Amino acid sequence: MQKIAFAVGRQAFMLFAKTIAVLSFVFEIIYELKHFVLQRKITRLILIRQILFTGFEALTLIVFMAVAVGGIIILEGNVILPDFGRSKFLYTIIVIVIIRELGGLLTAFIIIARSGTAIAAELGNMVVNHEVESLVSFGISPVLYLVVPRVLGVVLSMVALNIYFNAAALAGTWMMANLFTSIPVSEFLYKLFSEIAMRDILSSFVKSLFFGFVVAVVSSYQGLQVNFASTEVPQRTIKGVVLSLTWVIIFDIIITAIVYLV
Amino acid sequence: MQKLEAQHVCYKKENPILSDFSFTFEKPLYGIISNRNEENSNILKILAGLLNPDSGSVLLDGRNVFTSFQKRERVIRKQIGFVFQSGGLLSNLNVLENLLVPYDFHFPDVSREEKLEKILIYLNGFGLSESILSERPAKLTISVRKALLFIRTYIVDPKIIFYDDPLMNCSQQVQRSIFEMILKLKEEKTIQIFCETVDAQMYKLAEEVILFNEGELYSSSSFDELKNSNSDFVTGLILKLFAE
Repeated sequence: MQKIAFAVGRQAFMLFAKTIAVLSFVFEIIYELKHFVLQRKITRLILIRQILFTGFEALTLIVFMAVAVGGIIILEGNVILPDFGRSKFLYTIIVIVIIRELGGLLTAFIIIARSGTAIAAELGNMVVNHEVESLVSFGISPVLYLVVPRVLGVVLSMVALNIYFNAAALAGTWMMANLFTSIPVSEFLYKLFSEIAMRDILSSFVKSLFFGFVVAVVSSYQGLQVNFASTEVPQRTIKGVVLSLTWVIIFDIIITAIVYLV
Repeated sequence: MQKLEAQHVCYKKENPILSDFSFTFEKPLYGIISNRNEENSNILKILAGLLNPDSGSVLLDGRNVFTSFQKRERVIRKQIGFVFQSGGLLSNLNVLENLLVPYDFHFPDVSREEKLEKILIYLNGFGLSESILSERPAKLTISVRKALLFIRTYIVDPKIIFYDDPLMNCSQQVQRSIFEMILKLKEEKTIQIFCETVDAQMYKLAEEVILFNEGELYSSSSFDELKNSNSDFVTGLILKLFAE
């Protein structure tokens, strides 16, 4: 019994210590944000490259996924809804599924798969190759130089990609809808926008901000947790992916609950 | 001239690395020898403020070198240079961008042309061509990468420089350039502290060689005095160093 109590106590203490470490990391990022502008001469390049990699290079994949998802929703909706006499709910379903939920979630999943893994692996390798240590030797904070531009880059890219995803998915729904019945764009957009509420857009925007922040922070934190061995890099990368997915879903539930239930 | 003071510094991992170490560095060139070679790097890192000692402090002109980083005392960090044994160049930046990182950070007001001019002077000094500036570190030989670590440290004109195995992985030409630079800086009274396992002859250049045994300061004297020492420990250590 004493052993079990000891083990539980130890686990609780370790969880507490980890939570404190992550929170102090988050506060350090927020603190360093003000120095980011002052040190833009050395940090600007990292920010631009992060936006290029996360925001621009993922655009084709995001658009393809969005058009396909939008098309599939219309396809399934047109098959199922008429059987229940509920065809008029098609636009409501498009708004709920794409703008409220899937837009943010799928964009976050793609960013985790591409940029989250890249950030964790890159930072992990930088630790192993003494690159982080060399920054410290110059007096440059690794959080300021390595983490803040990545967090800003991923958040800005996430917001932009979320908008592109929603737009492309809606275009996909219109294209697929045209296969069943010819709908003028104006009529389609009118019916669609009459279903979109301000809080849907707000929820989508807030989600993309949080998801981007969570993915970048978790991936950076895991990357910097590598100590000396390159074998730690894939382990930390996988941990970063799992934790990013978990926290994105948790934040999705929380934000949805706050926006639509409160 | 500046001075670096270690005051009752203790640092322990599996073994004691520094035990109550107190010393004042004020001469231009010091060599460090420890009975455990692998601990030399840690000793240098503690003195350079890259590792936080368990107790005690390292002061540069009266200011703690470790807290200087946390408190953003950029002026102090600018005065301390560290040449790593290996690695250290940022792999996602090209050579020019790598060299500009500390330069832009410490000298934001110096023009790009002026910076480039100084970089080219150092590249020339190490026998490297301008064309490597656009290359990524991974494309260069280990020796060139090592030379770039020296250049990156020298261009910000630090007042104290730490070298962790400076001659390791260096071609003969780069080794010659390193010796020339170290001697030049010695004349300019820049404090330089090194540990070296590749060419023990380097210790002959040092004005004082500091010997550690199990983390404790064993002795500090000139290399000639060490060579003539009657102590079995010192003789054994010197023989081991030269045998390697």
